[in-house]
Amino acid sequence: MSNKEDILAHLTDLIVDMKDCETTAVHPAATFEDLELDSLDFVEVQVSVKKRYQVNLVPDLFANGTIANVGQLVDYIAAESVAVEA
Amino acid sequence: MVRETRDSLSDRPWDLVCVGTGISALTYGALRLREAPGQRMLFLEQHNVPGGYSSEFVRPKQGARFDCSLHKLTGMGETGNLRQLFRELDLESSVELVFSPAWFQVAGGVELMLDQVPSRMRDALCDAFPDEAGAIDAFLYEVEVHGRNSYMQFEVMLGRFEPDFKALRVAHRTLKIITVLDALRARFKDPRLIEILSLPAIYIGAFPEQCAFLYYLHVVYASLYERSAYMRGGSQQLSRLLVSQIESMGGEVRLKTDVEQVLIDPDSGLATGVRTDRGEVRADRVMINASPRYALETLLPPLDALAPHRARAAEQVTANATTTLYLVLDCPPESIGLDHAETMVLADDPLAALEARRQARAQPTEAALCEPAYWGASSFEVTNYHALDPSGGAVVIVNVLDDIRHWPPRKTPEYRQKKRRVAEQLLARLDKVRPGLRGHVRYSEVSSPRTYERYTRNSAGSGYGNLVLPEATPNLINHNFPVRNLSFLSAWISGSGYEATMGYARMLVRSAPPARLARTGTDRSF
Repeated sequence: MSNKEDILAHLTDLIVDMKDCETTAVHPAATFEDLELDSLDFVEVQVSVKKRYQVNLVPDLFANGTIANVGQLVDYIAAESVAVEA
Repeated sequence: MVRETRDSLSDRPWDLVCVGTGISALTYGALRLREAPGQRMLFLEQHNVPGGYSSEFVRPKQGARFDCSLHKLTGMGETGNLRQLFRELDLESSVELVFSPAWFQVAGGVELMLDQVPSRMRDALCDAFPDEAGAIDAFLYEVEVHGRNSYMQFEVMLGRFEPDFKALRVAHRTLKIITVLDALRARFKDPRLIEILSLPAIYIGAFPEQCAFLYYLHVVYASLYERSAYMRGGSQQLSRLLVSQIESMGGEVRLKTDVEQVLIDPDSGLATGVRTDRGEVRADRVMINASPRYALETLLPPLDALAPHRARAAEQVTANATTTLYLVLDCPPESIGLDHAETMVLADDPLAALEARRQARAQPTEAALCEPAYWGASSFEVTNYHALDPSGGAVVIVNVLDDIRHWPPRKTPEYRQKKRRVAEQLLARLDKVRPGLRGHVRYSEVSSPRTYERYTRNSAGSGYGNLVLPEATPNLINHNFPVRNLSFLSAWISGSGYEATMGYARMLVRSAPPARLARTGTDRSF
């Protein structure tokens, strides 16, 4: 499993668990608005990603629209986790 | 000293221009300039004093200073979030905090003093309602666990506090989706106890049948467990100190400068500055310290890209506005029974009040329904400012939650008559619980929701932002906003109260660490 696939699988598990939604609802094009993530959900994603990938998701990334959907989140985590490993 | 002279604002672009000088904007400016000295930051204010709601007005002939909003600062205990922020801002040595022993005094049917120390507050409630002791303990446990987790939200987002997520999820699934009233009714039997425990909802501009229980638990936690304090000198003192800090670090605060429009470049889709009544101001970033609804309807151009955001802002339910009765007495308020800083006057009949409010909401422009519902039937709050700071005069301020829609336009005879009616009704109710008080009133004055709307431009004149309803959808107005160098900063985004607004400003600053700024060479935290 590639890094991005692993990240997507992890986020999917997390979001399905948080929102009780179908696994198919979580895909790269799904926006956080589509998924109805609230501030608590953002926080839980932040903590989980920090623990698993050592990537810090500062609130600014969501507030300024840098990360607006699952695919962008996966890409960001992948890029930053590589940087951490390097 | 705030500058009022009109030097040219348009010589060269500013790094940031902020529309409005409410407490969150001033906090942001002071913190950001510490993090990134040398930034050219400009704060524009239409009024002749800075601070938005965090301001005061004086009546020299009466020897009175009236605070517009500061009743309590929550989170002011040693470990409170706001106390820590005060430390970061080096404000602790500049302000004198007043810790009242009472959380609030209850009057009207039940006479009770609720201590700020949770164990003593618990004992007072259990003494008054011994049959409910078990439920009171269970309630305080919910405050301590779920209220705390919710209270720490910004700290969690900054990675400085990790809550028990299982408990937090349970809270969101079970406590966030019910109203304060429903939750308290499910937990307690005595309607008087339910009404007393409902009272803190006033702090967030809500009646108990409106507000989400989890949000209320957070407010109770912040008041009781992280302690609340008053600040000598009131809210204007706080605003002045922040302005002073901003100016000492090179920022500028311009008063009496009205922002007419935020300028958006149609090609890039980015904000380029603002147009004021004194000309255009160019800036790399724009921040709006006002309600998103006002900004989207008035300040921003009618771009198609903003249509979904306008629709979303319109869907938000504004928290209740307040009507305030400012009083100057001819004696210390303590001498006539207002023994503590804050007194909550209970509704005579909470059930009748609930029904009256239901009818008023159904016909919000109908004065004959709204006036008795909001002024006559509902519980209300009284602050004895003299007990907090005698230098401000023998001042007592009465606040009722209200609705702007039944108030006629200002400067009309109907408006003036209505002001007289509300003063009369509130004084009569106050006199009922503190007999003789009315005879000691030397001067009175009323601010209506229209007054607050005029000075703050806030939607419906509300200082609390949007209602946190159980069914509220996630507030995503500040996410994915298409104008990337523009953002909102106010109670409308963060939640009501000083701690929430100042805490949100702090979180925004902290979420763009200096290392990132150095790497990008620009401030992207807006």
